[in-house]
Amino acid sequence: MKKRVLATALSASMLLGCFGAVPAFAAEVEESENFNAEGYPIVDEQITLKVMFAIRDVDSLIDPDEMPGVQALEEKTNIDIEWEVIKGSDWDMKLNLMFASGEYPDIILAPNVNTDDEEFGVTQELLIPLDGLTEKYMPIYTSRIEAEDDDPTSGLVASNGLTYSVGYLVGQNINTNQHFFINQTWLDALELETPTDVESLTEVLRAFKTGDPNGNGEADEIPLEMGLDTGFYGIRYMLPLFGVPCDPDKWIYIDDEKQVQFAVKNEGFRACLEWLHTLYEEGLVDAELISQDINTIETKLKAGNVGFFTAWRLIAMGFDDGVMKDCVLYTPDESASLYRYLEMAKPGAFLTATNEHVPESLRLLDAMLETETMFSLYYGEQNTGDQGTGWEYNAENGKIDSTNDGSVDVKNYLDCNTMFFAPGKYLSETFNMPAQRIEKTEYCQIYDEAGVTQKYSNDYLDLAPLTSEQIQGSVLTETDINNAVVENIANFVINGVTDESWESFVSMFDDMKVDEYIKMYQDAIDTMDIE
Amino acid sequence: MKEIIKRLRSQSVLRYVIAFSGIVVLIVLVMGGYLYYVNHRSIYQTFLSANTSWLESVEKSHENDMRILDDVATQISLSADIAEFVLADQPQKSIKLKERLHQYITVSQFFTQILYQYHEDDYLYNHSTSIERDLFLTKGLLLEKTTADQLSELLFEKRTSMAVLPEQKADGYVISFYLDSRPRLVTYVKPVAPRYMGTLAFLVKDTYYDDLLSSQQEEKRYTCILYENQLIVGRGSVSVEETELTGVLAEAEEQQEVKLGGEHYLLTQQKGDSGLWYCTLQSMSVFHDQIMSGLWAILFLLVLCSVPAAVFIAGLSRKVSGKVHDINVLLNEENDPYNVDQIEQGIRSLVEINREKERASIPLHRTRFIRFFVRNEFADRTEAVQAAQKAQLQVDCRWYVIVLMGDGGNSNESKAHDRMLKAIAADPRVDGYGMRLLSKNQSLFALFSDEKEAIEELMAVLLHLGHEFCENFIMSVSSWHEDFSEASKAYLEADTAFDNRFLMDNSQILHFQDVATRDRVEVLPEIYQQRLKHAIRAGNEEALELTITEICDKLKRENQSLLTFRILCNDMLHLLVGEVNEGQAALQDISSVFVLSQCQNIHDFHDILSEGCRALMSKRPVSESKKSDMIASAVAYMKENFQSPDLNMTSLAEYLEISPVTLAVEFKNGVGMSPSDYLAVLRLERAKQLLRETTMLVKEVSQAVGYEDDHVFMRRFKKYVGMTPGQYRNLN
Repeated sequence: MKKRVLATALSASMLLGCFGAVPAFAAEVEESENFNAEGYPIVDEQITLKVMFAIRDVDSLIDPDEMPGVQALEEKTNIDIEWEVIKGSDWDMKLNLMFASGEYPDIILAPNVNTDDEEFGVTQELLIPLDGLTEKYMPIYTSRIEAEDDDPTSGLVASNGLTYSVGYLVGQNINTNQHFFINQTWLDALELETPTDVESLTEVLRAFKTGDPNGNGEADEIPLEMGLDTGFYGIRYMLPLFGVPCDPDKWIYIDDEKQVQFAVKNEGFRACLEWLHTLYEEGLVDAELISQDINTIETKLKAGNVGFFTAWRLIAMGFDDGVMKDCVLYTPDESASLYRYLEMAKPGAFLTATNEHVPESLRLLDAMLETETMFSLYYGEQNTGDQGTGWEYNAENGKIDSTNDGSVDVKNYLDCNTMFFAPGKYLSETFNMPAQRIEKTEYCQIYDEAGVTQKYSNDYLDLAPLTSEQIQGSVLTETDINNAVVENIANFVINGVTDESWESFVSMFDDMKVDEYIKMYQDAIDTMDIE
Repeated sequence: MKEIIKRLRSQSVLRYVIAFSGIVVLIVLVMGGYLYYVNHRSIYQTFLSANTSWLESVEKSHENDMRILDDVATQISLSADIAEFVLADQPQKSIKLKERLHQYITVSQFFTQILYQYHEDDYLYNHSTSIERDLFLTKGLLLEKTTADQLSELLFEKRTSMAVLPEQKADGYVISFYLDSRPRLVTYVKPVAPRYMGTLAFLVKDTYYDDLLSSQQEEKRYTCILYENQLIVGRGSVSVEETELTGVLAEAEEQQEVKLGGEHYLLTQQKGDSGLWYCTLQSMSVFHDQIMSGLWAILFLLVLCSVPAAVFIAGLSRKVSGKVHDINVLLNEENDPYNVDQIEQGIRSLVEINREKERASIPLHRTRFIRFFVRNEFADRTEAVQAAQKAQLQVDCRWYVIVLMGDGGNSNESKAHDRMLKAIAADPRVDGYGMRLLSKNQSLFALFSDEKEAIEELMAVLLHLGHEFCENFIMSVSSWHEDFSEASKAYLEADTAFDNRFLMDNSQILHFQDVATRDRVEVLPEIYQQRLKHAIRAGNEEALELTITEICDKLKRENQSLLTFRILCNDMLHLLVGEVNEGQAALQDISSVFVLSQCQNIHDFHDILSEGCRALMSKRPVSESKKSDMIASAVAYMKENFQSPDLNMTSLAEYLEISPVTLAVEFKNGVGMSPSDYLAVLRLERAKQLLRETTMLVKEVSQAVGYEDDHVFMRRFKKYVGMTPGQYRNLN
């Protein structure tokens, strides 16, 4: 977990001044004679930089050395990159092993996994602070930051006021992650109105179950498709229907009064569970609710035959032959409260303390952010739309169009795992947002206008200025809470909720020092200037 | 052709050289063949065992992993609380089940996915999710060679035995979402015993078998796993048709050579406990390549051995043929100088000649041996025996004697000698040989035997032969000897005995032990000389003959020494020469007496002495004859009656009818001694004989010779002989 201070450099200084610490700006680094401060190649004589590269578990990539975009990058910069590719599920273990071994790569490129800069940077000083260095050696990166009204990289500052990472940001103009979708085709088939609240929604679900809306004569419709704690399709994304803006990672949230709340103690939490139990009893929710994982859920969504569900979006999700054909956005009533997503840069790349080519490394990362290189590494090579990959310049407006339809199974580009820094202004000037991005943006605007998105984002919890000790101490608590919640909500969904069982469930968190945990966050939030 | 046959039949050494070379070549080839055979066998065994080891390694590793599958199935069967449930009824158990399956996935290096299906439910589980049956079959797991119906039957139907889906491409979201690529998979479907209410499916990626079954390109191997006669998975650098392979495997033994696709392979197969069959095929060309490598090594070895051997044989052949050539040249066979037969013939003739020479030289060797033997020229007995063996004499016996034989130069001596040699050769118990001593006119024989009796019998034969062919044959023999170092001494003994020939009975063998060795000379008593002188002067032939006879008898009887005989001869000569001077005879009348000392025997001595005395008598006057009669009568009377103690001069005078004085004077004048002295001599000579030849007491001897008083006898004996009767007896 990383904790961020959302403030300007002056605020950071003031804050650190409160703690009695002085910001330690990065020292000057030595430039070798082989290094070219401008232009390409970056070095006259080729050097090799080792990159520890994280990919998502769902990614299937060829060897980066074989990727055309990578080869072009290496040729342009005259830097040979030695890749160590690691799956997200193995990331934590490999990262710890790497640091324990004492043999560090030069660069850690890991935008989609967590690299604790507090621990490895602030505490163990295994990461190089980049303050002043990015301004000097990453002009592209710096120019994009300066073009924005708000510094999108302010969340990258560690507790000691130093920044240890180069930011990763895919500007999408979104304010939430999951949306609700309902099968309009079935509604039409059954001549039903779009439900306006949970009750009517329940009725609709019952109609989906019994009305044979797909017309095949079999009661095979899945009224509600979801999982237990299965990421975007789990219970965390049903709770907002009941006014609980559940965080993707934690069971706490920030309410409209900037108070940190324990989700379990929200009335809506119990109400949600009771509702789900009712649905489960009536067979209105997928029978595999408890057992299926995200992959199975997505497979079912791809197949269609689902009445109600949550998802990131519909386009470019592989739902083309499934739910996308029949479903539309569902906007809940004002009692709902969805998690608000802050579009802040997250850590994308780090330099380790043993890096002997800091200027070269930063210039390499900056080179990866060059527009054409960045899009090639992200979507695939230019003009490869016939392969379902890549990008091209729009003939009309000269902006970049993505021709990547997500159909390729094994990618010859780094995909979203590459360095990508495209804040909103830059992105809008450079890139014709694809349909799926536009779709998502519209959904967010609708929800925002409907007032169903929380006022203060839970992301502030991630940006709360907690010390490394606090973070470490809270990990166990969070694990215990998560295990207890997940285990019990399964029981509640299956067996229902009684006062007794609920009281028993709630009281177990007393032993887990949940109050202290919440207070810790509250104290941190209180120090923040949250907007 | 004939010429060739002739050449082939000829005994040329070159033919033998060629034949020998051919044999050597044959030996080398046989050796090479044997080495090849051993090498072939060794390499073949190694080839077999290497394949067996390889397969065992594969089987062991894979069976270990298969046992893990059994263990998982067992654990699942023992975990009915989380494995046997219906999702609709007990959905929370799915969480536990997934956790359990996740544990298996986490630790397994064999299977990458595990699927579990409880037959009472419609859902199948992996470590992360439940999958509804239809969804699984249509989108979950799509196999290249297995239809959805087959998969459904395998997983969702109750089964009691393992099923294996051969390696095939796999797709579906179970693959794409949970594996990092779209691999080829082998699927092991195991029922959960003992209730068989559930089925487990283990998905094993191709990379596992890449590691397990792959081999080096140069091994030309194909290794596969089969189940129920179906190829499950295989890897190798050679391609094999599956149908052909399974057909061969069905009939093949554990290890044998097979032919597949026109290629020969060594097939090794064995069954694992899981029921899987493991098979490896390795091209026989690998084995043949190894053989060829070994063959080159063998050839090199053979060449290494053959070249110096050939050089050696060539050199040796050249030497041998050269020698044959030289030998033939020496044998004057230059027409065909390499012919071995000629050498053989030449050598045979040389051998024969040599044998002849050997045979001819044997007498020479034997003679040489005898000479060396009697001269003690052999260092020891062993050398003497060996020398004798070379002379074809067996002398390693206990006893030996040296025999000297003499003759008078008679021409029959050679014949006698030859007959004696034959007699010796014919005697199986005795061996020996004889040589001629020309200077001494003797034959020297050495006789060897383990039995004295055998030698004595042979000597009797030799004596007989000697007497048969020689008129005056004399044979003397040494005493018995065992020690070869005494051969010289034995010769001297025989020689001594030979020299005493006429003092003894020459008709018999003269034994050395019979020859007396005296410390002092026994001179013939004066009385005999007196009697001779008297008889010559008296012209009394009877007295003469009597006296000479008594002298000869005395010589023979008393075993006088040679010195005594020499002195006697000298005295006789002196006497006769003296009588020549006294009478009218001349020396030439008695010339024969000058060879008295060379007499071969007593008879010659008697004759020669008689002749000489008669010669003297014939020159003497007659008047002396009456006196000679009285003396002869007196001598005769005394010889007849000397034992009587009553005989004295008075009784003798009375007998002769003369006075005792006339008797004394005439007797003394005629004989040279008084008649009482003559009577004393008779008696004492007889006493000496009795002392030598009997065990009579001295007193008895005294009385036997006419002395009543033994003291008188003893006194007169001592005066006459020089020692007491007892001493005389002891000495003789």
